[in-house]
Parts: sequence; structure tokens; C-alpha cells
Amino acid sequence: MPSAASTTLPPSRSEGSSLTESDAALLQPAAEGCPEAFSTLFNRHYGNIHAFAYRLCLCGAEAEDIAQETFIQAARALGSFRGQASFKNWLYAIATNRARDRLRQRQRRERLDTALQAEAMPAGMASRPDAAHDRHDEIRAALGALPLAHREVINLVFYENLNHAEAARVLGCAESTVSWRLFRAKSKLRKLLGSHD
Amino acid sequence: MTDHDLKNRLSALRPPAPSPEAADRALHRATIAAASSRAYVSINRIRTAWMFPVAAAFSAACLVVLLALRAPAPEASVPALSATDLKLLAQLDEVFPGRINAVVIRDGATELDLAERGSAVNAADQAVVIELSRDNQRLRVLSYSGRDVSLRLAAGTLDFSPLLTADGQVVIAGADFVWSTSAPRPVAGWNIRATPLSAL
Repeated sequence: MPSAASTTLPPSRSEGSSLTESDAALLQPAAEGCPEAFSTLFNRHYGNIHAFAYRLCLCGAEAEDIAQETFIQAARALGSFRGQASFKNWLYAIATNRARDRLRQRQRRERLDTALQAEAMPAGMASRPDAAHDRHDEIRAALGALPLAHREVINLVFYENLNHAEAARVLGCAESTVSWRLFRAKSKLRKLLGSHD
Repeated sequence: MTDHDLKNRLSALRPPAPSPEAADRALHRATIAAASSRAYVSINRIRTAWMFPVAAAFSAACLVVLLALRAPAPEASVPALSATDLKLLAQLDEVFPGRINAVVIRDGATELDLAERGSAVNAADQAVVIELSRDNQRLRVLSYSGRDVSLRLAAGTLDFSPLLTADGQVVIAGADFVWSTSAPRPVAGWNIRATPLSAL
């Protein structure tokens, strides 16, 4: 699988000149070695990428690893980023590829379903009220029942509010594939969550 | 349940906050990676001067050993051509960015199925190779997941879309048939084999 970091995403239809001014202003100095500029970009996007990674792998520890690998890969490839897509979407593409690699490694060890059920509760969740805790677990289990490709589109379209074309660019697939996967994912989620209404 | 309801339900998933230690560690390592990447460019120029002949000699030796050990297999035609296929697709994608629906290799000749307009640029990891065979005839179709392919056959035109699934399987969906890696069946009298190019 080609590295997302070495891939130049095509221009976004809805984004136009898609870089926010502040990201655009920071990218050039960051690529030229200014640690403050890179640090600012990191602080701006790290939390979001961590949450994105968590919703893909559904594991707090792995989300931290994926977020770290994403920024390491982005740091190495900053010079090749041409700003044709938003910096955030570029990071999504890298994080998606890192998550795919991670889950592939995990599946080598054991089946994904078993791994998800066996995982311990991530740190920081024990203090949640029971109702919120239950709802979190219910959604986590439902997302865990989806294939990764379906979680990817749910993550990008439902959680990150990308349109289908933008999600297709992040995932490196056709827009119709995104639509098809989203349809399948929603159908399955409705089945899984519907009985609890 | 509407999309809006479903979205609301999904919002109950609360990713745990990353630990400050993890964030600090990530920033530190990424900063080092950025710095070492710039240094690597200049160091690499020096390194490759002597590494290239060594690597080339090593690769050639490995290739000779592999060729000597590997017995020819009649079913190996798909993997054997994968590198050529990827190169061909990459070159054509440069010429027709986002427009390649399919490349059809028929009797040694190459035909192009192009979309009228370019859409999302095809990603190399979404490339699929489909081989159709019947009697002594053999067609080789290179395409991408989600593309609409229109294949000219003696009996008419076969329209279909290849789709890659998350677990690396290929599904070929036509107007009145569905072929998949796990449930292969002849279509219009043609035997089909399909696999992701990246898996070869």
C-alpha cells in the first residue's frame, strides 16, 4: 500500500483553496525546520487525529500509537505536501493508512472480534456516569462489528463531516465506493443499534 | 432511524483524552523525524553512491536464485505480470489523470476504457486485475475499485464495477450478476479470476 504521506491529494471540490490561512502560514516554516511552527501544527491537530484514530481502532493505546506515527510520517513528508488538500485531510489519510497497518498486524495475531472483546477499558473512562458509559460501550461495540473500511467512511462522513468526495480523496478510492460503503455501514449500524431504541 | 438520529447515537462514543505523556512523546519523536528527514536527504546522496552497486548486485543474485528455484506454474500468469501491470497503470494514469476506467489487454493489444471526465484520481492500492478466460481466449482487465467498466465481447458488451472489500476480496457487480473471490462463477461463459494488484 502506498504511503499516504507520499501521495498528493487532489484538490478538494468544496474546499477550493482549502488550507486555512494559519495552517498555510505554518507549513512552509515547519517544512524548512522551524520547530515552533511544527509544534503549533501538532498541538492544533493532535487531539483531533487521536480521536479519529480511536474511532478507527477503538483502542486508546493504539490510538496514541497511530496518532504518533501519523505525525512522524507527516513530519518526514512535510516538504512534499503541496497544499492541494487541507492539511487536516492529509493527516486523516496518513492516519487511515497507519490504522490499516495496525489492524492488519492485529488480525495476524488474533481475529479482530476477539481482540475487541478482550480489550480492557481504556484509561480515563472509568469515571464516566453509568448511562454515558453504557452508551459509549454500545456504540463502540457496534462500530467494532463493522469492517474497517466501513468504520473509515462512518468516521470521515459522520464524525468529521466530510462530504463523500472529500472522504474518497482521503481514502484514495472512488466516490461511489464511499457511498456504497456508507450505505452498508449505516444499514448494519441501524440493525445493531435499532433494537435498543 | 434517520441519518440524523444515527449521528446522534454515534456521538455517544467518547474517545478517551490522550495522555499528556503520549502527546509529548509524539511531538518529540515527530520533531526528531522532521529534523532527521532533512538531514537524510543530504546524507542519502552520499550513501547511495556506494550502496547502489551493492544493492544492485545483491538484487541480481537474489533474482538468479529465485528464478532457479521457482518452477514455472501455468496459473502464475496474474502474479507474474503484476509489476508490469502497475507500471502500465501508473503511466496511463499520468497521461489520463482520473479518467482510467479500465485497461484491457487482448491478444497482446492494449485498449483503453476512459471516462469522459476525470474524477477522483485513482489510487494505486485500489487497483484490481481481472482475468477472463474461455477456451483459448484470454482477456486481462486492469481497473480500479468503484470504476464502471464496459468490456466489449463477441456476444455484446459486459458492464460491471469491480469493488475491493476491506479484507482484500474482490467483488464484481454487473447489472444481473455478482462475482466474488469467495463465490466465483462463470459470467457470460467466461471464467473469471480477480485479485487486488497490491496483493500480488
